[in-house]
Amino acid sequence: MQQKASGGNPSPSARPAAGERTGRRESIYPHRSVRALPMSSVRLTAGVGLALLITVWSVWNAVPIMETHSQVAAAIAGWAGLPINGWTPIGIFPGLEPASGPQLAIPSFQEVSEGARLALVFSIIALLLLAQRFSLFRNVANFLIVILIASAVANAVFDNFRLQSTAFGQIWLRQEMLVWLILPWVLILLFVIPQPSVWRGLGWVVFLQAYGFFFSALRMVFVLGVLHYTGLLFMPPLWFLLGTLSDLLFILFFYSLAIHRSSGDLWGVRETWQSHF
Amino acid sequence: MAIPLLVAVSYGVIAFTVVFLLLFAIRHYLLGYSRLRISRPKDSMELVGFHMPRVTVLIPMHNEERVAGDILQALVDSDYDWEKLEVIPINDRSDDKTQAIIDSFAKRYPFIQPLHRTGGQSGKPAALVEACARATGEILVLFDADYVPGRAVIKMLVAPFADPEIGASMGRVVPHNIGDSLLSGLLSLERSAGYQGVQQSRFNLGFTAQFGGTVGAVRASALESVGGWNPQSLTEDTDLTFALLLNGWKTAYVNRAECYEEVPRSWLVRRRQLSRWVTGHTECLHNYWPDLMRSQFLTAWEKVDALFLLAMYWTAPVLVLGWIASLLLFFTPEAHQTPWLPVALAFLGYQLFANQATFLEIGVASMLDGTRIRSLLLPLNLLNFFANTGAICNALRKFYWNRFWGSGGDGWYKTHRTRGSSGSGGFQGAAAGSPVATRSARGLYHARTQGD
Repeated sequence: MQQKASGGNPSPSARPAAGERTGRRESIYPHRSVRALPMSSVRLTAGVGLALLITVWSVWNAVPIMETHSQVAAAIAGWAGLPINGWTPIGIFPGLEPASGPQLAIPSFQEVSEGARLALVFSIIALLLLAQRFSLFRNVANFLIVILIASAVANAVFDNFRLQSTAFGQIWLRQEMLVWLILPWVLILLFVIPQPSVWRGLGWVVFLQAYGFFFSALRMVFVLGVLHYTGLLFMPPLWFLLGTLSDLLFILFFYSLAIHRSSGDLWGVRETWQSHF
Repeated sequence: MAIPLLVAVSYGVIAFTVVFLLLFAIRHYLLGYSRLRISRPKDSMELVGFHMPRVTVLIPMHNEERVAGDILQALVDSDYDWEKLEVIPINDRSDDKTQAIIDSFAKRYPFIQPLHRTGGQSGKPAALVEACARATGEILVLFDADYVPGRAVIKMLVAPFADPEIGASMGRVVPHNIGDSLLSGLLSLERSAGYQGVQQSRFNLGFTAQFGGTVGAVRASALESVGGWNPQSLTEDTDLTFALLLNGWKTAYVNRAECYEEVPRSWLVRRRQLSRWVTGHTECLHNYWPDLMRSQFLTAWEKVDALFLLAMYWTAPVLVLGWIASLLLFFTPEAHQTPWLPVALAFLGYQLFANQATFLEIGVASMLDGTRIRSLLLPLNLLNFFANTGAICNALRKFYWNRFWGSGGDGWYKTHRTRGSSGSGGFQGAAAGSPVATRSARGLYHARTQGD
């Protein structure tokens, strides 16, 4: 039977003799349990100031911004070979001058090709297989399958339901314009106030605001293409996946990069944890 | 008539969803920022080794031959004074080598006093009830059998009890098998946010920390004053947290008291675990909310925080209701004629602001922990979020169905664990040098009935 050593429990490691070089550091980083990144008035002021600036600038230049978005979308559509017949003025917000919306043929349910209907069936089968193979993906896949079936049923029942491409452009621009107004405030909450570097945080906000703008044009052209070739069959899942969920996802993607960078920086900089800056 | 009614109801549901979930999102942001900015977290480390009462360590076990040696060796290596330490491994009808392993340790170390159960109600709470009757410690420390505590963890968990108001303390659970699968990596991020972020933040703000049933300690007199463990509860830890709270006891959180655990590596195991948590937690909500509202020990903010904590699983069905309402409106052309600007602004604001809230907490915890590579998994947590939403809705549906019809609910699930198998990142630390422990660290799958 093992007994307790006198003067305390048995120690797993012996202490070095006095004066012996151990290779240990003179100081260590604070343990993760007591770390913090104190709030800084500089970061707070800079973040709020930039968000305010972007919001005011976006409201002031709403029409040119939407017009530029349409031009970028037109360029991408041209590069992709999407047969857009032209861009026509559409009212986006009451009291504002109209912006350009795309003119593109979107077939009704009866006009949809057999290929498109087959694509719907294959999509459902593919989602079913994915759900079986990747259990973590199962709920998303099931939700998409339900939307696809609901979409097919709704298309069959409301056979006179049509969506004009200009109306689609109007809905898209309305939503994205509102996103661009809210985005800077969400971005400063994630990238400026809780991050160690003010300038890098501000850089992220400006970059992501611009990225959101171009990414929106790209997604809009993609959805227009799908609408042109398959009608409204895929519209609801596309709206779900490429609408605000895409905005959420791209923010998350870049947020993870920012955290990756900050974690590395902070891990090696002891003073960062100790000073208010 | 039917269509306008449908549109009105759908908009009502969306408005309710937005308001309900925004409240939770604001809470997440406040907790995240609060944790990040505290330059001196509430911490009892200065008391470690100063307050050394008699302690009983309770370890419920059922067929734990692969891990039993690890935890017993880790406790032998503990720096807590053996004369003030009692360890009770509770062998709950194991039919493998668990009993032999426990007895071999008991022969060598007199402070290990095994309890071999052969009858009575099964499950962790019932095992704890029986063991507590034999415990001689002033403080009861709990570990699940697959956990590996570090040398100083017992001292750290006991330190807060120098404050006579503290009824329980809770340490930090750190997953060690983060590389086993995508799911275990994602869950490790979730655990980080839950402990490093939310638990520490709530404790700093003066709210009660949540007792987790493992890597935790409870004052024996406090436990007795609230009537002991609830053997009927599926989450006896949450049950005890609120029983203590209602009787004026506080639960402390000790962020430094880290203990390693194994998180589920497959979705099937995770879903079962989540299902048990949801059922037990919601049961506590129904049992305790009226008393919480009437409590004279709690401030208004503490009551609000406790309600948020108890109702957290309701967010999933409310979110799904919002999705269904949106889908109905999408297919109803009449709905597009309503004044859309305020609705659209509110909904988009909610989508971008509220949905990022939990990710902010994960980001904050990653920065504080210095986890670089894992933080890149953050966008994939969206998959975990959808998966959790479905599992929680299903568990709540079962819970309310059983409650409505008065039928018995789900019992204890076996939570499958792996340790030491290829690529599982098996724990080697505390067990090194022990023949029993070395063998036990090389197991493949083992099954548990006690849950974690």
